[in-house]
Order: sequence, then structure tokens, then C-alpha cells
Amino acid sequence: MNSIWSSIFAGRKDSTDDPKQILGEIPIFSDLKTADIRELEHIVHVRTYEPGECVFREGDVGGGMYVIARGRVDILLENRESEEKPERIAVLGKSDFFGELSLLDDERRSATARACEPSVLIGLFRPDLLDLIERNPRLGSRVLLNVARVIGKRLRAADARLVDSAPRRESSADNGQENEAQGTSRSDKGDGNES
Amino acid sequence: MNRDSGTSFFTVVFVLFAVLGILYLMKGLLLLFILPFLFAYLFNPFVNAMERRGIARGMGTLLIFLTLSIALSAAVMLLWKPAAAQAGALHSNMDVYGKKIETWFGRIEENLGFKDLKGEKVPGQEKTGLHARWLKKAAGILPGVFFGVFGSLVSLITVVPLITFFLVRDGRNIRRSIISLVPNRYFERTLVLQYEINRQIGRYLRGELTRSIIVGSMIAAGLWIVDGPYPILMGVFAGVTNVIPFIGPYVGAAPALLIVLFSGSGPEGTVFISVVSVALVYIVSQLLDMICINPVVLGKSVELHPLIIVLSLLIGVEFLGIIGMVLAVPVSSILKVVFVQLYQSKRRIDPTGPALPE
Repeated sequence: MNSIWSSIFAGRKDSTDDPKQILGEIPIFSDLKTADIRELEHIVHVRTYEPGECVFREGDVGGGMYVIARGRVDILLENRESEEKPERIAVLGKSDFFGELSLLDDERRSATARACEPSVLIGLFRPDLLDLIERNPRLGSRVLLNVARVIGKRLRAADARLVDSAPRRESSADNGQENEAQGTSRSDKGDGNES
Repeated sequence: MNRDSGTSFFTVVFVLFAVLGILYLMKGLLLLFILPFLFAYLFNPFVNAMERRGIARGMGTLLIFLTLSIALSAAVMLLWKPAAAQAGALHSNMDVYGKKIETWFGRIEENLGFKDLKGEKVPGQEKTGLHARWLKKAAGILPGVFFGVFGSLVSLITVVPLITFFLVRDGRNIRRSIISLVPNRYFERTLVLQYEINRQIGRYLRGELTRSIIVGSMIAAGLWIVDGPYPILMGVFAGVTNVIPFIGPYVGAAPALLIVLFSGSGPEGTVFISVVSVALVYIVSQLLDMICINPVVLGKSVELHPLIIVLSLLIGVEFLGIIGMVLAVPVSSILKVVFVQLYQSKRRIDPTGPALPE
């Protein structure tokens, strides 16, 4: 950040968390050069959260992704229609990232993210990414490609899980059909017997 | 609307109106603040394009300023003499036009019976004297617009470029620093909102400025071709007023038409031909603007209902006069973007709405 503005807003920065180092550690940015990471450092936002403070809530309009620089974040599924306690689906720690789909679209968040201890998050948001693409298309497209790769990997993993569960489901469906068929034949037999 | 979105809605509306209130209180300095923003919006794409070519932002801004200074100096050297001569002639002719307009109104009054045959005012009709005062005021409008609005030229020349330079070079950092002060709860929404406002207003201002320059140039060239009055001054005036929706083109055309109408000394047929040719210059320019320039330059940048535009113009003129009219559409567009964003976010977090898979 420019020295004038950094001195005016100096109180907002935490010197113990180096966004540059954290950004270099996560898969989306790991293959970027140091100069590119430095450029990214200028467009990310470093935010601090108290324990229990929501980063975003399920249903909010997504603006971008977060990388955990320090602390831990719970990912929760809320059930708005009932008073039940939110279901925790993951606990993320340092260098983990979440919300990357919001870099690509402006759909609502599918889960709630809540800091479970004092946390420092690095946010990369769609407006800044679009601005980066306009000013530095090489770096912007590289980041986008890496985001697409991560999403692709997750999609493949989800596919694999679906395929893994498919034979079981098929066999259970087959069993069901068999049972149904047997039931029908039994009733046929029964009917026949009765007749 | 749930409690969360309701609170943020009122917060945003409160902040917006607070900003508008502060701007109104500082309306004397408004031009000093608005012009740099306007120029920054204009220069940003050029500096971004330089950044794309690997030139650092500071250097790019400096190059833009240098290029602009050279271009402006050349333009001033070329146009200053004729523009100053035209302004001087207009200023010295104001009395002549005033007298002619007064005579013209005098004839109308006679025809309407406000004066008796000896030319003395009919008792009880003192109001007829108002027109002279009104005309003097009206005759003073044009130089008032030129020199009144750009009154403190020195401060404009020194302060505006300085603020513009920092806005172009550090605009992103200033925005980031201000956004860093927003509480976590409203942070993402504010970020997206400012991006939308920035995008729409930037596109609108760049479009309007381009339009003004093209229309103003067309009118100046047209008036020069048909030997109309003060082509450069009238071109600049028409370019400036062109940004005012609906009435802008008429306001822009009025001075040239009035001058031609009241300065004609030849036979009446010649005056008629002059008025028609000047009117044709404005009509053709406006037609070209409507058919060719407007759709290409502005496109879908700001879509406001005509009623909203009229209302915002009335409010603008009431609070800030002619500057208010120029600012009416951009300010309404900002309000529209804010309300649309808040409405969309309200709809999206509506728990009864259909769940979208992510």
C-alpha cells in the first residue's frame, strides 16, 4: 500500500501476519512468482475476527474467497426453517481457504463461516479480481485458471464419491427391485394358492 | 426483510443521505471536489491500459498528465485567441442585444395595449418595466455560466489537477483504505456495492463526456460553416448543457438562436435564413447524437425511468442550480444501484426463496 495511505490507516494492519507468505502457501496461488504474489498482496483485504463472529452467513450474497492466516473457522449448515442448532460440517485452520466459488459468480453462500477463535483472514474478492484482470490480464487469468483447477479437482472428488456410492446404491436398488418382484410373485403365488 | 438486512438498508440509506447533506453544505467547494473525480473516471481506463503494458501506475498517471498538458497547451494556443475575441465581442454586444430585445418587447407591449399611443405606460401596468430588468438578467446568464461557474480559475487550475493526479494514482489504495474501516458485517456488501457504483458511474461519466465533446465540436463546426454567432463559445456551452437530460439541448441552442434573432440588421429574409441555418445546425447535431452517438457511447450504462430523471432534475436545480442539474443523473444512478443491490441481497437471503445449489 502507498506509504501515505498506510500511515493514515496504520492501525488496521496486523504486522504479525504476512499475507504474502500465507498467499504463497495455498494451492490457488502456490505456482505464482514472488512479483505476482506481491501484486496480489495489494488487492487482498486483511480482516480480523473475534471468536463467534460470522465471516458470512448462509444465504448472503457472496463477494469472494477467504484464506485463513491465523485462527480457526467453523463451516456450518444452518437450518433456517427450524430452531435446530447449526450443523458443523468442517473446521478450517491456517492456510485453508473457503468461498472460492464466489470469485466466479454472485450466488448466495451455501454455508455459514464463523470464527471459533481470534482469527485473521485474507479476503480476495470478485471486484478486485475483475480489476486485476483488466489491469494485468496475465496474472488475472492465471489466478482464474488456478481457481478453476481447484474447483475442477473438487468436482472430480465429488464425482468419484458419487461413483463410489453408485454400485452400493445400484445394488440396494437391485435388491429393492428383487424384493419387490419377489413380493409380487409371492402374492401371485398366494393368490394362486388361494385360488 | 429480516433484521440484519433491514439494519444494513437503513445504515446505507443514512450514510448516503449524510454524504449528500455534507456535499450540499459544501456546495461552494463542490466543483473543486467533483471535477477531480470526473477527470479521474476519465483517465483511469488510460492508466489501466498502460498498466496492462507493464508501465507502473505512477508513471502511467504522469505520462497521461504530460500528454494532456501538451494537448491542452496546443488547444489553448490554437483556440485561445479566437475564443477570447468571441467572448470579448459577446460581452460588448450584450448591451446592443439588450436594447434590441427591449425594443422588440416594447412592440409586443404596444400591440397588447400595455402602452398608450404616445408611448407612455398605462397606469396600473407598471409590471411592464419588469421585462427590462429580466432581460438584463437574461443577457447576463451566458457570461455568468462561463465565468461564474469557473469563477476561481486559479484554484481550479492548481487544486483540481493535483487532486486528480492523486485520485488516479492512488484511487485504488484510498478506496481500499476506506473500505478497511467498514465493519466485518457490512464489508463484503460494501465492497461489491462500491464496485457496481464505480463501474456504472464511470461508464456514464465517460460516455457523457465523450458525447459532450462530440456534440460541442459538431455544433462549433456547424456554426462556423453557416457563419453562425461565436462558434467556439456556443459549441462549449452546448457541450456543457448537453449533459442535462431533456432540456439541455434546448438550453444549449437558446443563446445562439436569440443572438441571431436579435442581431440581424439586414432585411428580414436574411435574418430568417440565419435563424433557420443555425437551428438546423443544432437539430442535425441532436439527431446525430440521438441516432449515432448516444446508443454507441452510453449504451446501457444508466437506465433510469424518465419520471425519475425529471424529479431528480427538479431536486438538483432546487439545491444546487445548474450544477445540480448536471449532477442529477449520476446521483440518481448511484441511488438506483444502491437500492437495486440492497433489494437483490434482500431477495437472496429471503429464507422462503428457492435454495440455489452451490
